[in-house]
Amino acid sequence: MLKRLTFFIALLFLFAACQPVKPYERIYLNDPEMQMGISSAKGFEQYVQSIREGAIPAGSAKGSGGCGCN
Amino acid sequence: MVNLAILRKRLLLLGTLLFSWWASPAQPSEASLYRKDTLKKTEIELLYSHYLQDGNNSAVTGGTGTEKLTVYATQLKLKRTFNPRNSLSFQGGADVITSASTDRIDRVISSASEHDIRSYANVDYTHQLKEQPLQLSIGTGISLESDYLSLPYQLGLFYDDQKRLRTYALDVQFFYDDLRWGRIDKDYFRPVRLIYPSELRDREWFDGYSRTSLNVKTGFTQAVNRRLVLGIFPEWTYQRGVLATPFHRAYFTDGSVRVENLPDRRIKTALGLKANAFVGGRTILKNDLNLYRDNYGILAIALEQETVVKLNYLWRIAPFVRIYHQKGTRYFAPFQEHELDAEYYTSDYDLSTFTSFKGGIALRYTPGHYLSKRLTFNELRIRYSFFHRSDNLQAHVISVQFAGVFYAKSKQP
Repeated sequence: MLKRLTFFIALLFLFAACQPVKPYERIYLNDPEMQMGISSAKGFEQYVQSIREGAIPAGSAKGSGGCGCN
Repeated sequence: MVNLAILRKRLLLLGTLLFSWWASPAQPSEASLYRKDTLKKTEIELLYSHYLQDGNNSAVTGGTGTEKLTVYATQLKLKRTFNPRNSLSFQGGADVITSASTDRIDRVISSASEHDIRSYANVDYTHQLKEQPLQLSIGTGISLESDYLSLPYQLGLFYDDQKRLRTYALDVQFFYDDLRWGRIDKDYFRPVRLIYPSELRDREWFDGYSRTSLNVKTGFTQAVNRRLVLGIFPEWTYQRGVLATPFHRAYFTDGSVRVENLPDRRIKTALGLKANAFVGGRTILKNDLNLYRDNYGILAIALEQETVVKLNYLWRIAPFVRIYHQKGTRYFAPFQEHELDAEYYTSDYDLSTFTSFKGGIALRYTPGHYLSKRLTFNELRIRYSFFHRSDNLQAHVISVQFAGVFYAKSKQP
């Protein structure tokens, strides 16, 4: 529990050290490849992967349920 | 005479002014000329995926036997934007599955390969609040296969803080799954019963026939600087009901066989960490770390790295690699190794201890061409991956994705 708390506090400090980015400097951040979402092709891959593995992939649209699989 | 001339001039001037006033009305206000209109558009996406699998530890036959399987998957996605704050999305598709090991579930016979079809449709509505950068979404759908019916429900919140370059997301999904067979069988067209292996149909192995799943998915992303974005994605899942697969066998040390049995409650915790970095002028490094645990005793860690290289303004290439390690559930044992006094047992190698490797490559083409006056072809994506598991299960996946936009005819002001 303590380790998890320390880890999350460290992450918060990391975010607190973020540099401000003006709108005209966001050319890299606004690139479609920099977005956190995934393509439908990768989504299908994660779907079959989650069936062949016991874990669910965090950060994706796929969740548990909705199929006859585990 | 002079008075008349002056009077005449004055009358002429007055008449001119009066005529000008009558013939030259004031310019209409900007508000009456300009009318804000939203370009209504429909985003279209077509996906075809081909999945080939082979292995020798089929859970249907107790952890032994072929796992040869082919899936032909098609999907259509449509997203209609009505105005800047409202959109409606539809996602539907059909997967045709042929398997060399699956019980002939649709004919209630236990033998070698047959085919099955999974069809599904989901609808989502998204609304952006007027004063806040907050999006609300709500959705539902249906998924149907020979041996289950699934009804999903979804609620979502998404907050985009452009000033601080942060996003917050919350997604709650609920699934009701009915595992009974018969709905798409031509002799029944209704739910009949759970499907057990043929030699084990002399009794009911489970009291119920359904399961429910509640997924709470959260996400937080932050742009650290001009070239780096970090994301944290914790999520939790609670499942209850028939969580075993009714047509999976488990063999015991004395040679006897039973239907797979797993606890009727499952609690899952997962954490995803992502870091996307733009390096140089053409390269994006996408890094994922996933951690997972559940009350079945499964622990897992996954590392994935994808490098996107922009060849030019049209083409991008992206090789990727993923390594995954899983400590299996305490209820797993291989063929004929389950103890007779075990309360829960499975020989499904998906839940066993293993390491897996995935590698592949993706190609993306973004022409932005107009195919017609109102239809654009925006993207072609081809993705191939090879998956290998340490118990010698192997799979190939190839996907082809097309995307475009259809613009509605604009109304004349």
